[in-house]
Amino acid sequence: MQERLEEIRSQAFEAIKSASSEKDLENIRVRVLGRKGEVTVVLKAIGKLSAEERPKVGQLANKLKKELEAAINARKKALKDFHVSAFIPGLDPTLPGRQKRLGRLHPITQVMNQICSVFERMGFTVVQGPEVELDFYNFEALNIPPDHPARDMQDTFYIDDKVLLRTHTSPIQIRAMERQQPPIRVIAPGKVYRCDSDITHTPMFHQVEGLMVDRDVSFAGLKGVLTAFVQQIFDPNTLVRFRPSFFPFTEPSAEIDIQCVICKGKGCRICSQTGWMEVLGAGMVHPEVFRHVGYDAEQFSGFAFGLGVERIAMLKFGIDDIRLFYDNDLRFLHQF
Amino acid sequence: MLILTSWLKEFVHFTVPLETLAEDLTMKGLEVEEMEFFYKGLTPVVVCAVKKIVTHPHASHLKVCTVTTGEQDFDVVCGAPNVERGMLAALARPGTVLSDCTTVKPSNLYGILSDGMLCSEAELGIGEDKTGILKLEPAHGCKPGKSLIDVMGLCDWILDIAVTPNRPDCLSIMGVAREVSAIYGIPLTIPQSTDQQINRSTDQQIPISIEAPDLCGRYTAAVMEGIKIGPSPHWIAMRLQASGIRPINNVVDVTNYVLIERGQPLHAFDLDRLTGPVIEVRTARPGEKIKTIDGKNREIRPDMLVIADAERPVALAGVMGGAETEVNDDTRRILLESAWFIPTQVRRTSKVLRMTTESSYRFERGVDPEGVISALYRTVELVGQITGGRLLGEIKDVYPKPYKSEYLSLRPERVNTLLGTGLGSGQMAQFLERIGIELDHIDDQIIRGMAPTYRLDLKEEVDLVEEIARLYGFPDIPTHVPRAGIATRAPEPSQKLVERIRSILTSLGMTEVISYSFMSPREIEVLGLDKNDPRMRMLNVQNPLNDDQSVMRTSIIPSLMETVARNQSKRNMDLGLFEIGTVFYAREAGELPFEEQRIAGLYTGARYPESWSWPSEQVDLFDLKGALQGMLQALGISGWKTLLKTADGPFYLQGASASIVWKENKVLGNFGQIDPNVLEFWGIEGPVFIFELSFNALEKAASQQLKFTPLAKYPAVERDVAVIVPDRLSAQDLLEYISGRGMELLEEVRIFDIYRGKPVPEGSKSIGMRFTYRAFDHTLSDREVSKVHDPVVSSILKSFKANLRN
Repeated sequence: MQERLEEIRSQAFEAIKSASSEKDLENIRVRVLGRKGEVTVVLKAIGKLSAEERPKVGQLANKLKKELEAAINARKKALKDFHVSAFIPGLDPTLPGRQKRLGRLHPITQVMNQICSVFERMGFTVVQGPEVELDFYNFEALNIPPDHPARDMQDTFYIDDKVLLRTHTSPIQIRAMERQQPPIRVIAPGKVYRCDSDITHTPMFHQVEGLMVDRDVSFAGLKGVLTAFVQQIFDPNTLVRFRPSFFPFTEPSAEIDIQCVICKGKGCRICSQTGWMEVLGAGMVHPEVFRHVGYDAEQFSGFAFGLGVERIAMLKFGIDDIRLFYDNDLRFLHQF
Repeated sequence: MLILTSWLKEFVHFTVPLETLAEDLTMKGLEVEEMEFFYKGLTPVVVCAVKKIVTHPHASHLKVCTVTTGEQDFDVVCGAPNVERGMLAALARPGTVLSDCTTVKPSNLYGILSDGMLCSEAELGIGEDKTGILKLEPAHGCKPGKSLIDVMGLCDWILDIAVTPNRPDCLSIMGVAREVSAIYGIPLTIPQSTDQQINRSTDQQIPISIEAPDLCGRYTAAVMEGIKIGPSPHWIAMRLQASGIRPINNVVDVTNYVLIERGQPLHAFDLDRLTGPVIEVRTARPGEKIKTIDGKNREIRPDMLVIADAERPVALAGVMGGAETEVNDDTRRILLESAWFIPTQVRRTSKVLRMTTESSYRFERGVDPEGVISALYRTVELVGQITGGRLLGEIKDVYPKPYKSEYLSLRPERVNTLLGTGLGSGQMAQFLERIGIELDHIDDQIIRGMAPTYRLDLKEEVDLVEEIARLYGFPDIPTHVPRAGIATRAPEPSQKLVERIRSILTSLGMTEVISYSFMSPREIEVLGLDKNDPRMRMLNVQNPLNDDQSVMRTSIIPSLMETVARNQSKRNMDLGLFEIGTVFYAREAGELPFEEQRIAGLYTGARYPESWSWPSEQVDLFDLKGALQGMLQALGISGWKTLLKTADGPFYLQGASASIVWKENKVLGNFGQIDPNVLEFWGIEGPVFIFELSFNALEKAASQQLKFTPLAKYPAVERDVAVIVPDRLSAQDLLEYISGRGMELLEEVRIFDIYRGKPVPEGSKSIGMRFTYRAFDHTLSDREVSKVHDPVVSSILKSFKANLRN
C-alpha cells in the first residue's frame, strides 16, 4: 500500500509539473483525487488492512491528498500569472508610459500660495494694490519723509518726482486702512521693485505684507502669529528668534530669524556662521502711520510684517542664486 | 560700523566673552554681522631662532640667515642691522599679511630664494619700531616653532555692526560703549579733555559767522599753530585701519580718530590758505565751484550749504573739504572745525553730488549737538600730543539756538498693553535710566524724564516703549496667539479666479513663468503697433538698471518671447508657457498709470513629448485655440466667438490670427501665430502660437452664475452630413447659421471632418458635420428627426450654394 502511495505521488507531481493549462490540472485532479481517483481508491481499500496498519496508511494517504491539492493550486496560480502577461505578445509594461505634458506653477507662485494659505487660515484676507505707487503711499504715509536716511534702505526706481515703483508691499497697508476702520486683518502679496541686481538681489521680487489692527493687539500677539507661520511654512520644530531692528513704520520693530535650515544652527557659510537666517521683518504699527490714516492710536494697536517670497523659496528649495527665478529656464521650472 | 574690541574696552570694561557680547548686542538691536580676528594676517608668523648668518653673495647689504623653528630650517634674506646669531625672531611664513597689506611670498632675492621674512614690529603692525627686526625674549614659553600670536598674546577682534538708520548715536566707539553699558548695567569710562584756555568769550581773531542758522545749528572752531605734519603713531594708524580708514597724516588721522571714537565729524583747514582768514557758513552763490579733497571738481547748487572763506567755498558743509585748503606736508597752522549741520541739508547735498562720506553718513542721520564741543577738545588735545601744536587763542563756539532735549513721558500701563508684558514701573524706569534718560518722576501712572542729547530718535512715548522692549529682551516677551473675531470677509473674487486660471493652464501643458515688469521700448516697437495703440503709451523708468529695462511692459507677449528665446538657446525647444501679470499704460505725468492684469500663453515645438509611441508632430494654431477653448469652457464662459476682422496688431501672421469676443463684441483677447519677421527680433525659431487675454474682460465673462442642466434620460440620434462649400466660408458662419435656426431638438453640431482635394472641386472644401438630436421627454423616432434635419440640410445647401458630398 505504502509503495502504491509513493508511486502515485511521484507520478502526480511529475504530471503537475508538466501541466500547461488549467484543464490539464483539472484532469490530474480528477485522476488522482476524484471520486474514482488513485488516492481515493487507496483510501477505500484501507478497510482491508490490518488494524495495526490502518491508521498509518490512512494518515499517509490523507497527507498526500493535501500535498497534491496544494501543488495543483499553486501550479494553477502560476499558470494564470504566466498567461496574463504572456497573453499579448510583445507587451512590455516596463516601457515608459504615454505621458502628456503637464505645466507647472512657478516656484514663487507655489510658495506664495503656501504663505497666503497659512495666513488665510488665521483669518487674514488677501488684498492688493498698485505696483506703480505714489511717493506718499510708499514712503510718506509710512513715516519716511523726504530726505530721510531710511530711504537708503530701499533703492527706488522712479517714474517722476511723485511716482515710483513700489519698493515694498507696505503701501497696501495704508490703502487698506484708508478704506476701513479696525478691526482689520489683511495680507497683501505682490511684486516689488528695487534697483539692485546680483546673486541675492533682482530688480523685481515678491513680498507678502501683513497687517492686524484691533483693540489690544500686542507684541506678544505678533510673536504668536509669526511663530505659528514660520513653523507651518518650514518645520514645526523650527526655532525662531525675534530681535530688535528698525523700520520707520513700526515701533518696536523686529527682525525674525529662523535657525539655519542648512546647518541646523551649527554655523555655516549660508548663515555666515551665525546659525540663524533672517526671514521676516515686523513690528507694532507706528502711531505716526495711524495718524496718517486717521486711526485712533490710543484705542487701537496693531502689528505689521513683511517677508520676501524669494528668500523663503530659496531656503525651502536650497536655491543659491535668486536670478534663476527670472531666467524661466524650463529645466529649472520643471523641478518644482 | 567696525568696532575694534580693545578700543571699545577702553570705554567700557565688559567682562563677558566676545561671543556673548556679540550675541547680546545683536539681541538688543545692534546686529553684529561678523567678527573678525584682527591679527588674522599674522597667523603664519612663528618664532624662530637664527642659527647662521652669512653675507649675501651678490648683495653685500643683505644677509642670508638660516633660521630654525625647531623642526625645520629655512633660509631667509634679511637686511636688518640688528639680526644676530642665536636671537629669537619673528618669521613671517608665506601667506602672512603685513601691516602695509602686502602678502609674504617666497621670493628670489639676487639669486637666493627667501622662504619667508624676518619682520620688524612695524611690518607686523604690532608696534612702532621699524629700525630693525623684532627681537623676542626667550621667556614665558617663547620658543622656536611657537605662533607669534600666542607668544605675544595678540588678541583683538573687529566687530562689524549693522547700525540701523535710527541709531546714529551708535556710529562710534563711544556710542557702542554706551550700549554695552546699558545692556550690562556697567559704568562707562569716557576720557574727558578739559582745556583751561577754553572759554566762550567772543574773540574776533578769526571771525566766524553762520549765515544760514536753519541749516547749521552750531559751529565750533579751534586754531592751532606749531603743527609738524608727519605720519601718525602706530596706535592711531592701527586703530584707523581696523576701522576701515586709511591713515593719511597726523592731523587728518586725529580728526578721523575722533570721528570714530566720538561719532563727531571734524575737518582741519590749513589756516594759511584760508583767505581772510574768515569762516562763513552760508549757502552757495550761483556759479560757485569747488575742488574737493578727492580731486574732483564739483558744481555747487545754490541750495547747498558751504563753508567759505572771504572769497570762495572751502568745504561742502558736512560732506567733504576742499582740496585748496586741505592740510599738507607744509602746513604749520590749522583751523579745526567741529559743527552740527541739519541732517536733511547734508543729505540733499550728498545725494545730488552722489558722495557719501564718513562725515555725511553721520550728519544726515544726526550727531549729538552737545558732543560737538567735547569732540573738538579731544581733537585739540590729541593734535597737541602728536604734532606738537598749540592752541592759539580761544576755542570759538557759535551756537545761536542751543539744542533742547526732549522731555518725555511714558505710561507704564501703555507699555504692558503694547508689549503684552507685566512689567512694573520701577523696572521700566531702570531700563530708561540705563540708556541715559534723566528721570524726574516715577509712579505707576507715569514716568517722565529728559532724553540724552545724543538720542535724537527718542521723541515720543512709543520710542521709550521700544527701548524698554529691547532692553527687557524680545525673547522674554511672552508669545501668544492673539484673540480676534472670526473673519467674515470673502476673499477678492479676482484672486480666486487667477488661481483657477493658473490651474487650468497648467493642466493644458503650459508652465507658468514670471518675468520682469520692465522691458526695452524696442520690444514693443518691433510689434509694429499703431501709434495710437494703448500699448505705445509706455511708462519710462527714470533710473533703469539698463536700457533693456527702461520702460514698464504694456504687453506680456515680449516677456514670453524673451523666455522662448532664452529657452531655445538652452535647446529647450518644446514649450508650453503662460504668464499672468500686470501691464502698465502711462497717463499724465504725476498720475499713476493704468494697470491691468493680462494673461498670455503659448505653444511652440513638438505637440507631444518625445516618446517611443507619440507621433512626432509640431503644434499648430488649433492646439493653441483648443487650449483657449478649454480654458473658456472650464471657466464657464459660453457664447464667445472668434472674430477674424479685429486685428490685434501686425505682429500676428496675416490670416492666422483672430480675436475672441464675448457679448456685444467685448474683446476678451487675441490669439494667433507670430509673424516670423517679428520672431527674428528675438532670434526665435518658429512657429510660435500665442494668446493674450485681458483679465478684467475675462473676469466679467466668468462671473455668470453657473446653472445645472438636468441630465438627458433618453438616447440621442446622430445624423452625419458632409457639405461642399466655397473655401472662403468660415466654419463659424456655417455653425452660427445652424444655431441661428433655433432648432429645439438639436443638441449639438460638431465638425468632424474638413477635406480638400479630389473629388471636391478646387476652391471648395467639404465640411463633415455630426448633428446630435435629442428630446428630453421621449425617445426620438427617425421620422421626428428627419422632420427637422432634412429642412436644415436643404436650407444650408441653398443659403451657401453648397452641395452634398456623397
